[in-house]
Amino acid sequence: MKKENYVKLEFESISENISFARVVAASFVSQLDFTLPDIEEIKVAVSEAVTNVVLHAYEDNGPVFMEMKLVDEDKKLIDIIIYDKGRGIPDINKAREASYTTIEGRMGFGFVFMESFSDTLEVSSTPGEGTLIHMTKTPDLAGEGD
Amino acid sequence: MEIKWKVKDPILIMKVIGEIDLTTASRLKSEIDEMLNAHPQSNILLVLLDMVSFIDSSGLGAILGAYKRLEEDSSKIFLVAPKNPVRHVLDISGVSKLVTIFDTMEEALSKTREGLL
Repeated sequence: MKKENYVKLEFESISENISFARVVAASFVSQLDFTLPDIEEIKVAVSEAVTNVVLHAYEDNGPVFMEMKLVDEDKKLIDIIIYDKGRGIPDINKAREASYTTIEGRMGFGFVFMESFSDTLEVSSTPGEGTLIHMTKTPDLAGEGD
Repeated sequence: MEIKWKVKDPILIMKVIGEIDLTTASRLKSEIDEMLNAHPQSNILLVLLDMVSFIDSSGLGAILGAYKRLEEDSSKIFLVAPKNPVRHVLDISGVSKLVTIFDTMEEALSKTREGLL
């Protein structure tokens, strides 16, 4: 049966909302046939995306926007967009490099985890206007019928 | 997140319960620093992760910060009993190649004590 669903959220860019975002994401994507490891990977990817907003987007705090859409047709897919209206990323390619960070003591693995734990990752950013992260993931159906 | 400590000189055992992300990683780091300062004779830190249900790069940063500090003091940190998804994150980040992971606390205590003899 064809099924589509979506949610749109807006919340403040404070660290307490990072766990909120990943729990909401885990709950939403569980409507599809994701395995538990898949859902855990989505939680990490969402956590990293929201952490980036909390740490980098705003001078103080500002809004984080999170939109999720699931499609349950012939092709099953979860589509997650997380964006802000903050300062933006001057050099996206540099920011996506492993171990690159502008904050001392951090690993610079945020984008690496987002990339590793999703099927596709697109990042777009305009300095002074904000940054948008777009991730998709499809349930791994290889084990179906086992 | 909750942290419990046991001191078995020269081994410090830290049991972490809950989730380690940006919100909790700074407390994890500061508790490790405080314990290392309070027990300068301790040269091994075992971090028991069996009750950690989530970790992201912020949590890994706190663990790697402790790793660097202990390495500088010729001391060691070992991770114990991480379960998936934590183990998966440790593997994909390369942390499991840098920091030795033991499957059980018994193994960790046995191996580290062997190393102390």
